[in-house]
Amino acid sequence: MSETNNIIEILLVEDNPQDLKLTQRALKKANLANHIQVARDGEEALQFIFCEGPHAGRKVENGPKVILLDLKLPKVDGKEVLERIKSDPRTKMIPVVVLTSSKEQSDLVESYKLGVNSYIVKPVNFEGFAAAVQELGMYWLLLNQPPK
Amino acid sequence: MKTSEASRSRAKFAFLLVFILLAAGIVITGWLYYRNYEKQFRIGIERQLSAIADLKAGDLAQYRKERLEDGSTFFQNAPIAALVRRFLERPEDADAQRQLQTWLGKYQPRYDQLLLLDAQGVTRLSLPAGLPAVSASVARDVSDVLRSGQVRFEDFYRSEQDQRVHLGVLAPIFDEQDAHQPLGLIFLRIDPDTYLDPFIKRWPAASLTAETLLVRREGNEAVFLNELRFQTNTALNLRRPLDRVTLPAAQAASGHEGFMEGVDYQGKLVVAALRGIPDSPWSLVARMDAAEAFAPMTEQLWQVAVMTGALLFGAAAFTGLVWRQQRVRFYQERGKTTEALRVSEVRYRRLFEAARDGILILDNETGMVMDVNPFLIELLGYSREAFLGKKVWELGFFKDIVANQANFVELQKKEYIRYEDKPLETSDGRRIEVEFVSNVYQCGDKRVTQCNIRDTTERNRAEAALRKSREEFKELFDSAPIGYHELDAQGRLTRVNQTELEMLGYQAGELLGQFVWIISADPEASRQAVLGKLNGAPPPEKFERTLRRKDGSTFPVQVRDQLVKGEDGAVIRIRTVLQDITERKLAEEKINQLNAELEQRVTERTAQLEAANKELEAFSYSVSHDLRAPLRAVDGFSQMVLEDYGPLLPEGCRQDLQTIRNSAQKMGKLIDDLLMFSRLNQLPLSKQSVDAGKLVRGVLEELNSQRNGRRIDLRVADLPPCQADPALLKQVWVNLLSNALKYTGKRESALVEIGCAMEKGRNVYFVRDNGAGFDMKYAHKLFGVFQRLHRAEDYEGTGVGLAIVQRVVHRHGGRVWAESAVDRGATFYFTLGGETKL
Repeated sequence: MSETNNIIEILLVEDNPQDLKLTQRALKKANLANHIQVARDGEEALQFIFCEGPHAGRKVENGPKVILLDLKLPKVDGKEVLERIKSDPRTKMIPVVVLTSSKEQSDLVESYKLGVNSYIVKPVNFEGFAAAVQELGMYWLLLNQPPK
Repeated sequence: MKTSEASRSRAKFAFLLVFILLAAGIVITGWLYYRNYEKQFRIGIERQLSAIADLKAGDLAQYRKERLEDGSTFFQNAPIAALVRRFLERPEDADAQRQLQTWLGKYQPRYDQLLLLDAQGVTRLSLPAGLPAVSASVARDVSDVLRSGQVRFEDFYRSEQDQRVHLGVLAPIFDEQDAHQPLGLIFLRIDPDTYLDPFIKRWPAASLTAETLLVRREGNEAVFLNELRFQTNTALNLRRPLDRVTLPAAQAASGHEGFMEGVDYQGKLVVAALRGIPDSPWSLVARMDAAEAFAPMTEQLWQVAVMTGALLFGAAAFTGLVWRQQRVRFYQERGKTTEALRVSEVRYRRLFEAARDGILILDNETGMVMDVNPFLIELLGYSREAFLGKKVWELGFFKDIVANQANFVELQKKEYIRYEDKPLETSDGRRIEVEFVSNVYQCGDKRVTQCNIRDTTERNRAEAALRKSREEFKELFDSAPIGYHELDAQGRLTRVNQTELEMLGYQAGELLGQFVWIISADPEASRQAVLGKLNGAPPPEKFERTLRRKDGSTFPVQVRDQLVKGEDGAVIRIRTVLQDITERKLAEEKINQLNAELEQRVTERTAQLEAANKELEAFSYSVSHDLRAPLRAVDGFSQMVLEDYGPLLPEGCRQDLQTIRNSAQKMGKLIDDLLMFSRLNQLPLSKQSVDAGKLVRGVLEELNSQRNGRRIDLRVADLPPCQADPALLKQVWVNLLSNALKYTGKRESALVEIGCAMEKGRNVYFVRDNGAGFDMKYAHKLFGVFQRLHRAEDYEGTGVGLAIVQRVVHRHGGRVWAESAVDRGATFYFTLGGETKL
């Protein structure tokens, strides 16, 4: 429970357990694995972000520094989650990085319309994947200066 | 010729008339001129003579007055009277005698004799001396003078003593104390020869015939008082009766004054001015011969006459010249006319001889053949002699037309006849059909009958053929499989063929003369359309109408109109062709129905296709998304094993794990290529102008990593721009160029050429390499999906690249092909557009 009080830096929304493990491994390799909250579907992600259900004790204002979001999710679709985040004034400042297998142009365009900050296609090749995750983690957590 | 004679004489007459008019004009002008001159001249002469007469008359009057004054000197002169009384009482008184002689002597120069008479008329004193007795005529007057107590003139008298003519002045002398007591008279005698005649005769101008004469009346006679210029011993001897009115002297003596022309004492024509001398019995005639007076006038008359003559001659010459020219022209023209007549004669003669009609010319009076043309001779087969000189009814072969003289008389009366039904018989017995026409006309002074005979055998044959042709046409017209009718300018049917009648179910009689719109299913519309066409509206080339049969049923026809225009461009007739298109209409309906069904099916099929497309899209989406996740897991987890447990694993195991990873990655690539390939057909094509050179250079740069530092000879020619979708075209170049780089991978010195050639008006782009190449017998497999001509160990690849190239090229309407041989490199060509898909 001590973790819940800690500041969560990354919210990782991923339903596929293999991809989840690979992503976590990649983050860990980049020394970014300490403050990760994982949500396995869209609903869980929204409950965490807006402090509902099991996360009712948290404050919305203490949100994650970055959200890594898969698009294809059970229950609530990734695009819908993105839309909710970007249409709420409390959460719209949080950088959202779409991390997906889809190379579809339509997905990409739609995501950018909804206000996504980065769109990353997960490569089959693990080295490539790890490199991509590391890069984005470094960028959004260390280099990016969010508004106060 | 007659008319030309007439015109000639008319012309002659006209010229004569012109000449007469001219001559009359000239003569009249001359005459008027002369008359005017004469008038002026006469006035001049009259003035001249009158002036002279006035001068002379004045002088004479003056002379008489002076003489009377001379007499008066003695009359009532007391000293004279005293002297006379003294001398008469005492004739011996020498002193008185001498004094009287002195007195009288003063007057002697003007008088030839001065006498003193006593009251008894006896001469008492005289100068010159001699005491002659006075003439009886003077003595007679003495007592008168004494009684009257007046000085008076003693007029011309002939003296008995010397037989000479004298005149004088008698002055009575009265007693100076007693005025009534006459003493005597003084007589002053004048010799006219000496004192008066020179004065009278003197003429102020030089003249050959002019003279002045003095006359006085004595009873019914005029007496000449002076000696004349052209006759001697005339004074008191020459007498003429007063009734000689032409004699100027007679007229003057009668008391006439003025100017006259007359005949003088010599019987010559003269002009004269007449004057009376005041206080005297004398009359004066100043005369001149007319010949002399009018000599200048005669001269003038001559001049005028000569001038007139010259002018007349000129006029005559001019008229004659014009007349002559006229004649010359006339003859020239007559010559021409004659030539023209001759030419005309030749022409008509040739016409006559060359005519393809038989011509026979008859004397209308006698019926005699005058001429026959060669054609008729040939037609009938008789000689020329058989015709000439014969009467027409004697010829025989005209027996149906002119059998005898009676028939000919008939023909003469009619003047024009025409037969077609009376054939002629030729010399060899053939009967030929002819058209016989004869008419009568005037030829010179003769009436002539001309018969024209035309062989109508041929014409009759032609007419029969025409009739047959017409019948055939009529049959064709009626049995043609299409309807045909004709309309007049009002839209009424003038002709309808049998086919159309059958189509409509009418009899010809029921339709002819009716307006065409009665056969239309919509008469009003048809009426307006037909009237529009008749008024010049251009008709559609072909159109369809619905017609109504007599029984009321309708059927569709296709109509084609032809407008027939008159000379003024107005439509005078419409010819119409109709075709019953009931069958075609049915067929069309069937086709329309089939088309509708087909359309329905296409719509359905399109919907199915769209649904299938949707499914395919969903499929490729899930392939793209879901198939790659497990591959990523295979690759990722193999890597995790290798990273975490690598050192613990035997070498072979590590290699196998690596193979698993490679396979997974290759499958990822395959999936990517396939997705791209399948998407090619879905994306819309956005064509624009593309700079091919720039595009190729960009692609080569991107592919730089593939070269792996190899030395490659790249030869890029200038490439023309093209119309294409830039993203798709780039994929073509990427695939072709990466292939070239890939298949030259094992060459020491790789060569890649990029260029473009013109072929049949199209740009053909090509990429040539000197790489591995391929066997042309597999060329057909080259562009198939997943088709590979090399082993994966030699050249890796998915077998999708060229399939993508082909699909893009085809979508642009172009063509792609390759030429190669194993180990000899390959060339890939492609075009964009302008070509049918292969």
